[in-house]
Amino acid sequence: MITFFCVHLLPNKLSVLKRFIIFSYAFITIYFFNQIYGQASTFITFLGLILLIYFFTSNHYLSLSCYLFGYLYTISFNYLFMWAAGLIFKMDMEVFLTHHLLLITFSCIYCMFCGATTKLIGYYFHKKLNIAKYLTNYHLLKAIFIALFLLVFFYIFNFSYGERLGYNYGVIGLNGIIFLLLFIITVFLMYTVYTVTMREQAYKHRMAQFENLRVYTERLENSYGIMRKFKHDYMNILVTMSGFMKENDMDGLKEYYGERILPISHAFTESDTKLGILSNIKNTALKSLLSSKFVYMMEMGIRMEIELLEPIGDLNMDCLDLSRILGIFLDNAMEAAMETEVKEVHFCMFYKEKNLHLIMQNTALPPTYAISELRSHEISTKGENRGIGLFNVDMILKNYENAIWNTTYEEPYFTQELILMHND
Amino acid sequence: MIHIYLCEDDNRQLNCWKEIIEKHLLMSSTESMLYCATSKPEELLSMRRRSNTTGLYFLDIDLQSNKNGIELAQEIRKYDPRGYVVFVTTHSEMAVLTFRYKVEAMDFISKDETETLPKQICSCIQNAERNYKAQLDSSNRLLSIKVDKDSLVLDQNDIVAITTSNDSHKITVHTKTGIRQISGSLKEFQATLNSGFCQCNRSTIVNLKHVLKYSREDALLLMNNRETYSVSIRMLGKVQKALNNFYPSITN
Repeated sequence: MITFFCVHLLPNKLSVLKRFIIFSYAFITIYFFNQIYGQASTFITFLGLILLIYFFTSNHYLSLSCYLFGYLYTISFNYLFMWAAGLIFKMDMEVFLTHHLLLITFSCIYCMFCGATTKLIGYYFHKKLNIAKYLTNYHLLKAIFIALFLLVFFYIFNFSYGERLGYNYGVIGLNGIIFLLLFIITVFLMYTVYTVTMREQAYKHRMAQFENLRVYTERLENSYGIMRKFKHDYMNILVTMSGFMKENDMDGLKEYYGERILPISHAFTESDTKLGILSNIKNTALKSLLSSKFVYMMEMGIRMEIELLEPIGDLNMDCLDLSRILGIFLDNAMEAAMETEVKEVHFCMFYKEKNLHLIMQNTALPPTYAISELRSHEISTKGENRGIGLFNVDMILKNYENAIWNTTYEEPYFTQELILMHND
Repeated sequence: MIHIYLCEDDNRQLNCWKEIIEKHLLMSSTESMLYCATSKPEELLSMRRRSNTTGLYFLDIDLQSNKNGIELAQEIRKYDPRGYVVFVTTHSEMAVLTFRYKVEAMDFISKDETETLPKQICSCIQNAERNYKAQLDSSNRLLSIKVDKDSLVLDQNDIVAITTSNDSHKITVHTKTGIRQISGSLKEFQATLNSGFCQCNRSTIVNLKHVLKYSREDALLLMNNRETYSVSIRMLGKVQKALNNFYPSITN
């Protein structure tokens, strides 16, 4: 019964069928083996459950750690409850366990408590802290898993072997307290590890952002230099023109205009003054991401068109999530554009009735697969990354009811369109 | 018949456009007419309010007024959702995707290339007229879809399939060129679709017109955009019947 509630703690929701399998397995093994082997049967149940969860979930170490944590949590509270009950009713453990009515009410209260709290903790872990997103260090997860596994192992070993040796309940109670302390220490350790990882991540993130903004500023300074040069040329042009006018040389003026002035106006739009338009993006993190991607694309020889005609303030989405999605889209766009002859990428953001529209368009070879398949896990046309990236986008957008995502290919452009509705 | 509107703050350019358009209208046998040529957005809007004919709008972006061309076009869309907007602008103000996606502009013309300007304007008028005629013919099979406050118009013939998304409030429309999400439910849409559509499992409605192959052994429908859809056991008979009705010549 207890073991089942730990399911609440898993990062991804399991289907009803899988839950049922886990529950019935736990129930059956405990029921049958307990009569034959006594408490030692817990080993069988426990190992079986770990295997089941291993097969049912994708992120193995994280899921198993969560599960083990849940197990420790429930067992610890089992001891606490027993102790409290004993205290309230002034009863010895042994008397208590033979008193059927009391035992059943006790079990019911305990189960309700565990069911509710594990659900709450699971919610807090995965929705609020989003640990699956930050705890990506594989070795750290492995270490946590092994520590928890050993702790649980000793836990079970202790009470099953103790029973066989004929410990009285007092000794087992003492053991319980020791393990409770151990458990608290583990929780504390895990919490410390968590905060340290978070801080490290934030630091890394800030450094990357800083670096991107530095490159961006450099580019802006460059384009300012071009502007200054133009200002200088511009004065020269005006002087020459006034010369033509003084001499009333209309033909000369026409020729000069066609040969010198028109080309300048064209050259201007092609130069890398384009990045200056990013000043319309008010969110620094987003600006740094976009500038770094755009600078890189221009260096790769891709023709960029950036359209940001109005200030972009409200994102209608978590800024980190949006950055991740845009990063994936732009990487894909670049990769696909590089395969084509023209190598064009267009980027555009605007508001339409407070809804934020993001459009990315790039030249691409005609797809050899159905476009809807791009979002599924299996497909990857070139290398591994492309399909998986879009699958991740789909996973992120699942949490946003206000997001609409359209994908089209119309020769020769591949277009990703993301609409983020304003939440009223 | 289409009404043509012009809005450009520079009077010399405005007159130049006017001449080009009048010349074109004279030369071609068309009922379209130049309805309004102005330098003030407000004037154009008040003219628009009085008319209910579909319009073709040639707009400058920088109007030296409290509204720019894009804002004006958005305003126009309120009165004339199906009108044709063309932006006439300098190269540096060009924002192709914004024009197309924000106000569904039909086209854009670059002012810088003065030589080709008349030709571009004329071809825009012709395109708009052609499109207007085509739409009159096909208005009965268009599926108008509400997307929040905007509505999106899709030709039912272009839809390959409609499926539920993993988010219960949205459905996905699959066309030959891609996929788009729309808020709503399958049930709501089923009522508005024509007889060429058939539900093949709990979460999918397919357009029989786009079925390439039906493999009865695997109960799979292969569509002409490379997608495959499974047919649920409950729907097997229905799908077979619908296919037979739709393609009476092919009896398998």
